[in-house]
Amino acid sequence: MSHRPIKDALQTLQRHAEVIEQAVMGGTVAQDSLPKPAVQALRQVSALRPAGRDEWRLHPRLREYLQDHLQMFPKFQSLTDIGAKLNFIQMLHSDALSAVAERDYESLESQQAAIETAVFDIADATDRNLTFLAGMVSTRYGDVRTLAAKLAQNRWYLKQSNHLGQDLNRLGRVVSQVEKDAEERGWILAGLIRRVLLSKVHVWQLGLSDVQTQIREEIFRTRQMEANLRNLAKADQFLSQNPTWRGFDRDEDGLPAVFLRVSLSKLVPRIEPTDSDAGVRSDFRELVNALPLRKVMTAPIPAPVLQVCRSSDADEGEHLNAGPAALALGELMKSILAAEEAVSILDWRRLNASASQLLPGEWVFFAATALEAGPHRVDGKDVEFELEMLANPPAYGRRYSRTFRDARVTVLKVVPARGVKREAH
Amino acid sequence: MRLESALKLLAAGQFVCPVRFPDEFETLSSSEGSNKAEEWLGTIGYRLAQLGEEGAFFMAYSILDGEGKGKVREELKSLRDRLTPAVMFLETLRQAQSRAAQLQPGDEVVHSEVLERVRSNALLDRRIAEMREVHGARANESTADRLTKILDLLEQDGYLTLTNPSFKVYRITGKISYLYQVLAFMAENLPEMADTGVSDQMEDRQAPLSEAADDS
Repeated sequence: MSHRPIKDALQTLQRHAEVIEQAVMGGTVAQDSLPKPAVQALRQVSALRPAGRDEWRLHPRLREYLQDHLQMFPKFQSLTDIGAKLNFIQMLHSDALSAVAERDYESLESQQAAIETAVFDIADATDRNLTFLAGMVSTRYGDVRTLAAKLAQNRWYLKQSNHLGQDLNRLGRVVSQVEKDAEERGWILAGLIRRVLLSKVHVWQLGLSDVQTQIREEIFRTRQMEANLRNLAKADQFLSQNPTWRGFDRDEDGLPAVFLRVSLSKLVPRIEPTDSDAGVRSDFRELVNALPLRKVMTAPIPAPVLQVCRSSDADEGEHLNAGPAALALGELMKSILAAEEAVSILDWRRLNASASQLLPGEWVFFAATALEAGPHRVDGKDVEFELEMLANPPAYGRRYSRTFRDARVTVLKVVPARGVKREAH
Repeated sequence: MRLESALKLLAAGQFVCPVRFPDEFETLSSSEGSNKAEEWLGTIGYRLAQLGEEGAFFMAYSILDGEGKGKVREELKSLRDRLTPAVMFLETLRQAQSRAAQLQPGDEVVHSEVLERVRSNALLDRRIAEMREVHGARANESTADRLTKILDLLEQDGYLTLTNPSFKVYRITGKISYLYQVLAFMAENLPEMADTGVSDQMEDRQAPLSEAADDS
């Protein structure tokens, strides 16, 4: 028998592996996206089948083989059905018995060979089904994003495993009968059935039972998760709709263990005594008694306070009892009036003896406040000044600064004097 | 050493779960560790308790004395204050995660993912903006900043643990099972939270109508 067609088919698949990969990963592929020679070649070996009008799909057996080999399972994978194979064995067995009766040994031989193949297929399929189920359950079906999907998968695989369980029960009955008949007739098939199927049925049933238990536990866990999330949502709604509810006023009987949780308070050594300490009160009394008598205090005579007034507020002819600040302010105004550029209050202070008597911050604040409150009479003119405050950088972590370090002053407006106002000193 | 650390955590009222305290949980899960912990706690009138079969360990009263009863009653009376922030914040996370929400111990909560979902949901954005339970929140701060504060508060409260500070990735701790058990208790004991609550109310409202129909 020549094996050329098998080699040809495999070589065709190998040449167009990329197209097959695309079809496995995508389910179906658009006809436009595939090169025509590749489609023709794969169609010749029946690897591609039409799916609708404009798409191709992979041969289901080829897809199954690749998914099986690569352990790539869809979210709702059907288990390989062994029930159909059991029906097949039953039918072949019946035919084999008829062939014996009719002494048709040629048919008998081919029927026994077919039964052998089906026996191996059932063993393989059952092993693969159980391995697959155990894998899915142990990984909780892999990456499922929603609780609903998890629940749906739980139900799907429980149904699949129940179906497999029924098939395993039937398998035991059917192959026992076939094995008994084969044994009576001295067929080699009997030993094969015992070795490949009957010796494993019990192990398979136990394994399946474990998987079903795990699936049921998973269903319970998933339902518990659903209930937890539902309670969370309901509690949120309840707390927002019942602002006066503080808690339960009831005794501790029948409470769940979570309410019996204990948290011991931390032991913090208190080194500093407090007023409420019992031993401290007597000490306080002694200390109070030991205090000297209270002296009668006389109020100190207040020192003359420098007052800065707006020139417009002051009475005519009244002169300010000018201190160094007021003197310096008058000189500063004259300097600003004479200057062609903006004058820095802080820089100007270094050049002036009166201003230097004040601290830089005091001077800047005083001069800036006074200049801002114009107009001022300088050299017989009413002058308004414009100040540009030079702000400090904002403190760490703040966006804005509320302090300034200096101000640059220019003349905003000069108006010839109309009334009599106090001149700047 | 691990047992000592585990006992200190239990005494401080912490839930020792595999997510937040894996070493201590392993110690308490071993028969030797749990026996020693039981022995130590038993001598001071407490016992080692667990949230479910594989849940977090915590310290509970062995027998409730007068002081213990008082504390338990006090806790029941002030349940609202203890639960409200966690319930509000976790419900916000649940709504943000939508159908993918599971909020189980070990689940990841990624700041950027939650923020993305909040930004695409105006109702959720508003919920976060109006949330009064966020301590230290300012009126004009961004949703991202507020969400950071919410996650930080959940971490401080022991419901989350920060696993990746650079990308603000948190994991839900075993303490959430404690919250679920308390909420289940509330659902069992508060008619307003029962599943039948809504239908009962509807039936009550409809009763006078049917009576009126009979009268007519």
